[in-house]
Amino acid sequence: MSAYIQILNVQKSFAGTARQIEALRDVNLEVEAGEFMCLVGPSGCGKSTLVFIVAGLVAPSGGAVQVGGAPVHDPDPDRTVVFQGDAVFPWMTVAQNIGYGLQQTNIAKQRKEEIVTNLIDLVGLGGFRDAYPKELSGGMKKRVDLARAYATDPTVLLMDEPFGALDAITKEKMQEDLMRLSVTETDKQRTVLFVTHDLEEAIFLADRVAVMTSRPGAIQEVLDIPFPRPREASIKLSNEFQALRGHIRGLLVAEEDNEIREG
Amino acid sequence: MAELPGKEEQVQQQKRLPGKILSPEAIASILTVLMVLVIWYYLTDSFIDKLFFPSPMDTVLVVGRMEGVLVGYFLATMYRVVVGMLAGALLGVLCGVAMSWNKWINSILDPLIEALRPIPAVALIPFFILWFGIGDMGKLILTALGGFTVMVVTTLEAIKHVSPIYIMAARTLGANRLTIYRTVILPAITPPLIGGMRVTVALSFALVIASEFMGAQSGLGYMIMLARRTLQTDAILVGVIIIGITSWIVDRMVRIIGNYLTRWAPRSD
Ligand SMILES: Nc1ncnc2c1ncn2[C@@H]1O[C@H](COP(=O)(O)OP(=O)(O)O)[C@@H](O)[C@H]1O
Ligand SMILES: [Mg+2]
Repeated sequence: MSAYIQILNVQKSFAGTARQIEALRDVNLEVEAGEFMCLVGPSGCGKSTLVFIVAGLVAPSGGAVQVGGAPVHDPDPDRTVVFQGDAVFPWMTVAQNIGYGLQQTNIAKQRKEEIVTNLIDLVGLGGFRDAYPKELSGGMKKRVDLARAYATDPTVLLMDEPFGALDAITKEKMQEDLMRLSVTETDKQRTVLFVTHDLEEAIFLADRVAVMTSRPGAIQEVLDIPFPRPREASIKLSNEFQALRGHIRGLLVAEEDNEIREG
Repeated sequence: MAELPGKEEQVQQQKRLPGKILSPEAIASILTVLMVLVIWYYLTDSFIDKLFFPSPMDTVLVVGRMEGVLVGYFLATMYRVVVGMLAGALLGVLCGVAMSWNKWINSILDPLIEALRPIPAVALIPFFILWFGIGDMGKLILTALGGFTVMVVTTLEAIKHVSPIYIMAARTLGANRLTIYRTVILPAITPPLIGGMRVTVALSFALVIASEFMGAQSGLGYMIMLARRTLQTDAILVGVIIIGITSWIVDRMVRIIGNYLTRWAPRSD
């Protein structure tokens, strides 16, 4: 059986103001059904671009993406995205934001309400159902964003540095929440592609970590993370964890040196 | 930081003290107004001839004298301002949205709007009188044209600046194009549209008054023009003051409605 997400020889160039920018060069990556795959790489190496391509928001210049055996051409609520920036609609309340994807479906109104209420509780925003995003902290807004992406119960969840802008403590809390969620019955089947530049975050969350080269991005190595789920935050201190971290760091530092030399 | 709540309490207590209903800032503003009235009274009582500027007394008295016609003129002007402004603004927003929706609509309308935009609408008044006479129609169309130009440009600019991340988010959640316009673009452009609407209010008053100067049989602009011919400076001033006050009130209403519609938006005030 082939992998659930197949990224095949994907290339992407942008027409820049002065010259062509080659963002991705020949990316190949397979993510198995139900797998939690983290993608790490130097900033500007095309991680967001790759997420957009898998989401169907951006067309690749070459190559193809298949999800569940079907080629990706357009976005689909079966593949939702948590964006790097703040994508929560400021003109909608917490409940309206979370229910946005459901609103585009034919699900019965009462069922929609149920799902939204469950998600609000799940992400711990019980008292904020009718609050506007301007009343929320950065961490709370990211929870709304996560809940919104979960609401349509997608088979693929794409997360682009979702916790990148959060403070260390909030971030750890969110990672642990995500870990707890990932072992629930429904989430075991969900295929996740999670972009981050935080190596600890990647190793803590992932079944496998894909390391990218600097721009033009390509996959340089894919590592298995052997720790069983659910994982406790304390594993971050183990020797095995730190050895993995050291290895990935070495790969990324070598990339950075390359980039400096090539100027 | 521990002091802060204490200070806040003090301020609140001050506010509650009897006889201190007005803040010092409000008293300063009221004093300014009184000063102006006193200087006005003094100057018109001594140096300035009534032929050039009326005294406060004359101004108040003329309102009583003209009450009958004043209401009629006021309503005629307001009708032209409100109907012309709303029609123009609505058409402007619709056109702007349509132009961003479809590149053909954009290509067809863009040269027309670009040709119209740099022309001050007042310059067209002679043509409008020629075509539509001195009744309501020409004034309504002229006012609508002014509001249309402002709002179509505001709408196009606003849509251009809607953050693409919101549109991408909506697309990944299954929204189609129409839904994205309804649930993302329209709310996102509301704050700049309110700004455009306030410009439109000021412009609409200016256009209606100007077109009433040039040819009309009713309206505050017509009244001012008549008063100028007969050197009734008090009637001129009454007209000016009424226009100022109503323009302020309409602007205020737009602001209140706008604040309600954009109650979700973070504000810096
Ligand atoms: N729409 C675009 N137009 C032009 N260049 C782009 C565009 N999007 C991304 N890029 C360029 O492509 C490269 C990769 O960007 P991105 O995918 O955002 O990287 P990452 O997410 O890894 O930081 C960067 O050099 C960026 O400047
Ligand atoms: Mg990125």
